[in-house]
Amino acid sequence: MDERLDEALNLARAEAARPAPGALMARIEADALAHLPAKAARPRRRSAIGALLAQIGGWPALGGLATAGAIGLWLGIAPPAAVGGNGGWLDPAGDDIALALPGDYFDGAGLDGG
Amino acid sequence: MDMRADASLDAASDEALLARYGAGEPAAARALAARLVPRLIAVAARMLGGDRAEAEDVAQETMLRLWRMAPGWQTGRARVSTWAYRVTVNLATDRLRRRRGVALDAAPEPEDGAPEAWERMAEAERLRALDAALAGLPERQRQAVVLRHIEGLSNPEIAEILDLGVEAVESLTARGKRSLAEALAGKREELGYGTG
Repeated sequence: MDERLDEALNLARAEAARPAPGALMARIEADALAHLPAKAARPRRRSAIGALLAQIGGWPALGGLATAGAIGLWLGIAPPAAVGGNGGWLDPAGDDIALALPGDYFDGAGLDGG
Repeated sequence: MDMRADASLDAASDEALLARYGAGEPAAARALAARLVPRLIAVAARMLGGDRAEAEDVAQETMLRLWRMAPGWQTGRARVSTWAYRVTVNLATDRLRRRRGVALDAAPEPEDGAPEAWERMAEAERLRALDAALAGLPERQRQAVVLRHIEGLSNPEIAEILDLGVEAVESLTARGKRSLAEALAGKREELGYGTG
């Protein structure tokens, strides 16, 4: 009696070991893709340069800094007339800056009490 | 997928694969399905009188529920396979209850033919006889017998799947197996042993 049951159970186990049909696996895989959770955002590692950039405001700030440096260099090498030379109002040669006021400027009415 | 990735998936536990799918890795779902689906079909088929098409639907529905559960799956709460078996048993039982009254034994009768064909039909007939005998068991006995004697699960795992005590499972499987053997004894002709 048990031999028959054992044989029937063995047949059932053999059937259980059969691989699932490809069409079914394709449907199951499509379900899995349709419900695939979004990849969790991983924290990005920041380099030392990246950290420094972040401190000064990132790449736009660095661009501004570079522009300012270039302008400074250019002013040093080839200063425009308004900056350098004798006629300049900021003359590194050492001329005093004088206010050119007319000589009678303080003699005007009301200033001398008269 | 490269071979290193394949090896990493092969070595991973079911729970690790589900976690990797939950983290957005589709290959992990493929590997997990390849492991679970054939076993789920086998359980559902024996519960549903050998109807493999319906068993495949049950397996697909089970896996769909698993995909939906993945993001919130709590590691250590339950084994993935235990959870999947439980869902499959419940889905198959629901379908069986819905179609109660419909003949389970609806496969065509075997035809006489060449010895090779007869051999094939004899195996199919033996499986049909087993399914008919299983269908005659009380619901819990059928579930316990399929999980114990076809899937080869341990009694504690079956107890977890069926939400029963281990002793109750031992009793169900023992009674169920005895009833099956008696039922099959009355199907000597169908099993291909002759009457001698």
